[in-house]
Amino acid sequence: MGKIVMSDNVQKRRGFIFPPYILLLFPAVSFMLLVYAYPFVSSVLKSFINKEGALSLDNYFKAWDLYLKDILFTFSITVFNTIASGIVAILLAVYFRLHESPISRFLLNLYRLPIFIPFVVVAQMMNSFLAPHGLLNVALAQLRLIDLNNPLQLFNFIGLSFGFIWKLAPFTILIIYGGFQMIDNSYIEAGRSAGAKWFKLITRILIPMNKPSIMVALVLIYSQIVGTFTLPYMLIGGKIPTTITVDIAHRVNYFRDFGVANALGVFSYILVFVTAIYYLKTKVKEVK
Amino acid sequence: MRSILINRKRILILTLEILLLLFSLLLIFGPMTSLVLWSIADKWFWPNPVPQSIGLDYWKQALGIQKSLAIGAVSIVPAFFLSLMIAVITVVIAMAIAIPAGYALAKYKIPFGTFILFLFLMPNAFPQQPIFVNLLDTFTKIGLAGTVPGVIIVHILVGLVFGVWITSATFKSIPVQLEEAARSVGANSLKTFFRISLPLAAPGLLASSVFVFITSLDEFTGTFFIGLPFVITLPMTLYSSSGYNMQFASVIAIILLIPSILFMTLIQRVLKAEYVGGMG
Amino acid sequence: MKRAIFILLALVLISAGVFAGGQGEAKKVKLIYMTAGDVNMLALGQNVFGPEFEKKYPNISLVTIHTGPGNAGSQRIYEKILAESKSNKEEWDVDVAMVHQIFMKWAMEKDLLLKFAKDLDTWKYVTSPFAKKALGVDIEGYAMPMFHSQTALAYNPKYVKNPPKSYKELEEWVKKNPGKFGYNGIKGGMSGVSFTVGWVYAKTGKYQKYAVTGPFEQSEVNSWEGVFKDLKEFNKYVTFTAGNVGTLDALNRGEIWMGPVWVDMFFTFMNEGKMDPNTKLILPEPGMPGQPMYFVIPKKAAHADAAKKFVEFATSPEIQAKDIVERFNWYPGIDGSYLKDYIPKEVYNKIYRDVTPKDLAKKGLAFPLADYFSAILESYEKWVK
Repeated sequence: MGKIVMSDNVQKRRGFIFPPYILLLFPAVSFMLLVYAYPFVSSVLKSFINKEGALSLDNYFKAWDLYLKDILFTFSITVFNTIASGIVAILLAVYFRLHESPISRFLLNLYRLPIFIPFVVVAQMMNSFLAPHGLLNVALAQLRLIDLNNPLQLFNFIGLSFGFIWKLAPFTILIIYGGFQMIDNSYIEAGRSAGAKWFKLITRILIPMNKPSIMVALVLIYSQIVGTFTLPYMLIGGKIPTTITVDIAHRVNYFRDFGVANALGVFSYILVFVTAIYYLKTKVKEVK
Repeated sequence: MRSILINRKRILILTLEILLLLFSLLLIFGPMTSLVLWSIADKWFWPNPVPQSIGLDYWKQALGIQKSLAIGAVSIVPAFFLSLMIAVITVVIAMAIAIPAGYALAKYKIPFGTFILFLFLMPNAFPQQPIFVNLLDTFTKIGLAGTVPGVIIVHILVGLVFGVWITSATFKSIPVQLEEAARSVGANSLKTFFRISLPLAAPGLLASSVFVFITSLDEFTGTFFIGLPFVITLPMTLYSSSGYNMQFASVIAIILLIPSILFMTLIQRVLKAEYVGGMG
Repeated sequence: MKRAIFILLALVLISAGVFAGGQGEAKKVKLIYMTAGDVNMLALGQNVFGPEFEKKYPNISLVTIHTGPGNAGSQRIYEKILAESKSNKEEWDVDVAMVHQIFMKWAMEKDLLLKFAKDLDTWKYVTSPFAKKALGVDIEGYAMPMFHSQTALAYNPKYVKNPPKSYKELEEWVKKNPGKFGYNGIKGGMSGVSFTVGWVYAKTGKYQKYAVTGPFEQSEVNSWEGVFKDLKEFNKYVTFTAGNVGTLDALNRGEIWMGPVWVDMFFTFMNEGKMDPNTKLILPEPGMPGQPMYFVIPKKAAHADAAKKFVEFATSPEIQAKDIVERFNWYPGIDGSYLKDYIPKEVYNKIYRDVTPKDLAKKGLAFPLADYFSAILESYEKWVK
């Protein structure tokens, strides 16, 4: 659909010249449309079909009724962790870019490790690390910082956030630092010799020049947090509230209820789409 | 006076760095310690803070050295190589179609460009299980279910977002002036791309191919639905044991780290040798 | 860039070569066996059934594929077979599968299974009522039980001297020991579901109607509000764990003193050194549900005959005794009285130490009829949120 409209526009503007980007985009876009369009459209359609097979909004009412708390919980988890990971990542990436030393080079490699650990492993690791009698609490108790009869309770928002940031901040660092590397030293030197302090250097030069990478990194981790199942499942599980992904698995595994599952999917898609619109707006500003 | 001040500043920075180092080591290795401890734990239950007895049984079992029936663990060697092969092919194909697309999206004013970008994000934004159940129907009909090519297609599908998005952001960060300068001295656009844009974008492309590689290596949901029953990858063995068998899952998790780290180091080496001039 | 491509290509070739090397074995009938359940199901297939079965039938090789724990694992097998039934394939990939009760309901509705069990020599050993009905659905002949599993409350006698003997006593107990009883709600696996179902049986006293005789009536569901309000109150004194294993983990780490577990997983944990060997089991009044796992053969399985031989092999008294009971600590799928000659006394005593066969007969309940089952789960979500 989109492609037909697109070439129409092009023809109006440029006559019959074949724009080169069509050729460049063609393999990737046609791949996506071929493989993804049918399953996606059919999923969305199923969310509008009720148990009797008729067209209705029943699934949405049910999802809203049973899982509103979870939808809000997912949204707050996602927003908080995207921002938190973003801040941590920008600070560290700035440090790596501006300060060359053996320690910074070592840390740059150290912070890559979590990227390579799949979510399912992170989930398990965090489960045994953050548990009331897990490694963290036991270690703190050995140091006499807490009492094991009253350990830190981390199977909640805080623990979940720790897990997400642990895994996703390094991912963000890699993208943002990659962008920082491309900023020529001369800009930074110029800023420094003009007497710019660290803070100004960051907000006036590094971040603006690297905005595309930062935005991309944020949207990517945002959508990953919305879609992650294992980490919330293993840390929060059946507690209330939990995340949308846990609810979807529950609907599908126990009821084979793809209607409500897909309705929840549409909700989570909307969560991502909201960021999409935000992203779109900032991009429009950029062009102006 | 001045030099003392500078010295003080240096010492302050060094102290801060060392603090950051210690903090980071605790932060990164703290949770991973429990992984390592579990991978060698034979016996570990409350109230013992560390395993009561340790051994390498699960490692031997995973590497196929030993076939014991007493513990729930199996050899993961075939799955390991299959995963590696699929990941490498996925990276090659995905990057081959992602780099042109990313370049186009960065350098041309494309109608509905943002929507095209979001097309690639969709497989990550919409919960995967219902999608792959639908895809399984189609793939079964055309004979792709249960085959390696079918699984590779799925991996490209979920990995392409990292390929397209990150390459596009990278190309966008290259100042237009540089490319224009090259063109003005007579280089055609193909030459400009290979001599100027590509070398400048190398770090970003590296990052993006690493993510495609990792995504493929870790992909589970799609592999499961499309790959069954003939294609068994490492994350599937990992999932089999995740939660239920801490020891075996920890072993697999540690083994999964190896190919990703190797891949990253390898690509970095190659890029450095090739583009050291261009990047300088 | 050329060098990068070269190295990548070399990697592809190397790994492809290694992979092909692993595949190049002699041509035999490859029997595709998909199993849901814990990872020990995979070990059972690959390390035990595989080699032993091949010894007996040298021209058949067993390929075991594990689809994951719980209903989710069964669900994946169902999706696979369903997709095959929708295509026009004459021969389906999956030859034999090991599934949970809920799978039977789904698969019987879509008519995906072969009626094979009565052709087996070992059918005569089957006496369990679970072989006839699963969640109230008639399955006789379409499924062969391989083992039976039961949920029960695990507790550490070091901390719990007098364990509660009924749901009622448990309600009192949690108030005196807040946070020391843990379960996984209903979204984290079947042990929590089982505890909840047992709660409904205990509070209503209508096990017969809900699980055996029926019929399904909406008025019953409407009468449960009080039942779940009590559960909501109960939950205030409870620690929530993450999944079936979460409960076992919490017991392992001494965070809780008591919680519902699957008996077989409990023993596996003990065997793997993750559970204090002093930990005990108890089946509270009026009982908790359990369920078997079944062998099924898809309707158009490519190697149905070989599959039958395999099921016959796995349900023979000898294998049931040696592997199912002795090695994996499950309750047998066929009648236990046929196994006595094959099982050493100490194994028998360990498995039936806390939960005796008498307990099992009286308090080992079934899950409710499918409609009541869904209604219980939905009511929990509605009233306990």
